[in-house]
Amino acid sequence: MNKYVLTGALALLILVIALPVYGYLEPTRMARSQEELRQQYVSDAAVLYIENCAVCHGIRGEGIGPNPPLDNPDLREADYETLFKTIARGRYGTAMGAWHIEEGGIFNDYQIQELVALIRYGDWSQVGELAAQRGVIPPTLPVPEVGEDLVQQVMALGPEGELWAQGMQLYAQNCTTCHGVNGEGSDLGVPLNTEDVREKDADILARTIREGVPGTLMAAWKNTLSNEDIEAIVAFLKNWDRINEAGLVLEPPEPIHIDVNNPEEMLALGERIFTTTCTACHGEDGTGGIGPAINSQQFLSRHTDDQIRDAIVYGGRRPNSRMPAFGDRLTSVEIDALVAYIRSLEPTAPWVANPRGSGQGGGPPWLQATPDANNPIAPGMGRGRQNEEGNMPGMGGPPWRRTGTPVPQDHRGENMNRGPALRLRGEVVRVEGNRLTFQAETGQTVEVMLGPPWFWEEKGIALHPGDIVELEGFESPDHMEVNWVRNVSTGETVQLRTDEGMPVWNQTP
Amino acid sequence: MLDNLRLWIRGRLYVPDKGADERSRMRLVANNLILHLHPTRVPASALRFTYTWGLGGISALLAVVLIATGILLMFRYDASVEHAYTSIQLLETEVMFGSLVRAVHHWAANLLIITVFLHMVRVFYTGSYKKGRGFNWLVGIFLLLLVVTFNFTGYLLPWDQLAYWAITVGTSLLGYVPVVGNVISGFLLGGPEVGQATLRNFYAIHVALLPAIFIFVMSYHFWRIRKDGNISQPERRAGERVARLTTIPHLVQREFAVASVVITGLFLWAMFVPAPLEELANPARPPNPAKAAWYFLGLQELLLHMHPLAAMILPGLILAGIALVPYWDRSDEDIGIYFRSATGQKAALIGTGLAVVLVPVLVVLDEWWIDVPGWLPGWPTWLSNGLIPLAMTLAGLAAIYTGIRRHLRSNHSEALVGLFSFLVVSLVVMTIIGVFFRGPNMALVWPF
Repeated sequence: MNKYVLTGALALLILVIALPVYGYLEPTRMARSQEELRQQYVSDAAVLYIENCAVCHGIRGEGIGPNPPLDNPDLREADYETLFKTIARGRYGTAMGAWHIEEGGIFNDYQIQELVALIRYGDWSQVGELAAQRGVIPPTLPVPEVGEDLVQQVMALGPEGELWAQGMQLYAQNCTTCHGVNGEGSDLGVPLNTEDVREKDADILARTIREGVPGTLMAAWKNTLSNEDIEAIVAFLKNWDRINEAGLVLEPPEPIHIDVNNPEEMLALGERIFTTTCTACHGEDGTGGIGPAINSQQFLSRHTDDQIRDAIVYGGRRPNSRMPAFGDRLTSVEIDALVAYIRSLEPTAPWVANPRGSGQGGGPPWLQATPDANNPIAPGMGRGRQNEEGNMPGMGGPPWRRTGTPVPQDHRGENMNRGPALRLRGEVVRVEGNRLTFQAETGQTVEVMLGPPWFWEEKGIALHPGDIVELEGFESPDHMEVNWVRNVSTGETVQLRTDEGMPVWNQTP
Repeated sequence: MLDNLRLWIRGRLYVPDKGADERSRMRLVANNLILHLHPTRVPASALRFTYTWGLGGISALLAVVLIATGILLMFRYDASVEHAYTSIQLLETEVMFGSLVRAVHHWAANLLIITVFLHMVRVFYTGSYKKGRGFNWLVGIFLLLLVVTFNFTGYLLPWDQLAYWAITVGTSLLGYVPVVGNVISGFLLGGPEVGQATLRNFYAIHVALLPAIFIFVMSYHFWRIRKDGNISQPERRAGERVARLTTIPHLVQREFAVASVVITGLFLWAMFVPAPLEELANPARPPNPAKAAWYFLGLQELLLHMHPLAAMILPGLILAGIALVPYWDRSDEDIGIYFRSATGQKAALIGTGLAVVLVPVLVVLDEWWIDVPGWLPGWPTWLSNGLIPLAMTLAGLAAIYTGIRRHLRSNHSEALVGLFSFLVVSLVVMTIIGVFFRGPNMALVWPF
């Protein structure tokens, strides 16, 4: 063999060795580059977010006022399509506009994908850091107070004064964030207290408010405000100069200084935070909504201040809890004030029929009515479902409800609004963290949650595919909660809830 | 069984029936693929690697690699503004060997620009356009332009920031071409700016129009080499005998070695250096500096110094001069000798030295001192910054030519070697300045 053939053969040999090696490493490389892509998406999206979304959702995704927080653990698990569509098409009935370029917005598919990546994988504290470095100051909500005497003075201005006063109040509550306390405008919204605006046709103004302005932050308010409200705002806008001439202006709220050592001021601060931040989920007066009733004897008598503080700082610990962690958003002073305020409710707190809240397995609204012992509903007229032949698949509740041994219902207060306790036995299919999937003896595949992940990690028993398990639990909106579970194959048992139904992980040790 | 396979493969390449009679020898050639490309015997001196550097063969090999990898890429690429970039991201992260195929395509394309350019330089220095090879030289220049167009159209397809802005700058350069420039750039863009129509146009041109032309012209180029009497060789002196070697195995073995080394080198390089992919194209956010593709940076550099009119006329004139050199340099006796003669070598050295010194000096002077429009207030800029520098540059080129002829007592052909060296090295130097020494706002920067 001469040197040419040798050189050529050697080169080809190197190639023949290199290609399989490269191929062998290819899955690693692909995984790594996907990771890099995720990183890149999140980085790009953070910039988009700060420029376009932070004004409403907060620089750290913490949510501002009525606009929901995005740094929510549940949103991370939300599916891609839902997040994409929400950003692309907006959300009906809210101020969330459609952002896709084809819906009149400014983002293309790719940018919305990046934002989805941010919501699912992003580190929000780093987004806030980036925003701060870019000089985006957390916007505050300058909602001016409209005092009774101011209303009276405006009403005295003319025959239409009542309408103007109404419009002024609505303006103060809804519009000042972007358009300024006295309509001077800001970098978020155009000035409104101008001759130009007043000269415009009332219909045009009303339509702009009703339909919003695509591609801007101006939302369609028809979903939030009634036509009468919008008319009142238009009347106010068109006569703003006359109101100002009378010396009547809206005053921006004064920053409040609080003496940390004064318990009363702290309570007032706590009340303000409670009414602005907590009541959206926990109900108008804290007696339960989506979230559990805090202003209830059941809650307050069973939770120490430290537990309440932990729930505020770290968020809900129950699986699927929607309680966000407020530790990053509230200062320690605010959290102290909030805990003190919640504790101060205890002497007056009522007993609540549904202390768990509708988002926590409270049942459909028609089952939340207060039971009337004098007028019990007579059974027998209703259509029995349990053993009826010809049941449509997918109807009549989750699969484990349709067959299996019915367990007598527990009527004591705590358990009344939960699904009935069920006892099931079956073979383990798979265990993912705290999520157990098993094949019940009835042939159904059942998925149950074994407490919060941290609890199961610490206290859980070994469960392997193929093991026989026996458990007692109750139905929750999209899965099953467990009272206790026993691995028949190994004989180990773990209790997840006390006989009263209180989760073991909420008990103070 | 294995023997049968071996015989079958050999039969496809060349039929090994070595007959004694003329008829079977004729069939040997007629039935042989290799002997259709090459003559049966080649002069030993033409086989020397340092004579051709294998540049034509490497270019052809790279073209084949580009076609193969290009077809693979077409399976995953989506030529729409919405999905082009994502399809590349998918290719890079989801497809086995996707990143490698793209990297090989990318680097082979860039390497091809270099090899065809060097091939042209080699052919010029050995005077291989002489003795009836003039038309094939023209075909070669056309192929060079085709390769550049290939690269230019392929550059846009990833639809990242680099692609978008390089094409935006590139097509605006095209707009300076007098008369037809705007028509061509309007046709390519399919609209006022780079957009969906541009992407679709570039894709169609890149994967359909250009390959069809390229394969045809390249085959013609090969055929023409054989018809013109194969690789150029020096004139034989009377009575001189040329040693000849058979193509099989001598030439084929050398070609095999070069091809293997190039392919392996290319693949290894592509494995370690993936093709770049910047952020998604964003028409609202031009990078600073916005540079054209690297092979156009010499041209972009020229634009910084001259009115666009002059910056288009000058390269046009030079290209025309180079393309028509067979009809300008008609002495055939120095064919096949590098730089024509010892005098020609000196001329090449002088041209190279002048370019290396003069171009940077002029660039620096123009940046901070030369200001013809300022010195001639009231004159239109196409005159003060266009025709005047153009005339001065052409005068400078003429001065180099006559200087070499006088100083070295060289003939026309040797002086042209000097002039050609000056132009080629100037282009290289200006490209280096454009790539490395131009920072934000295309100001001169020190890269180290």
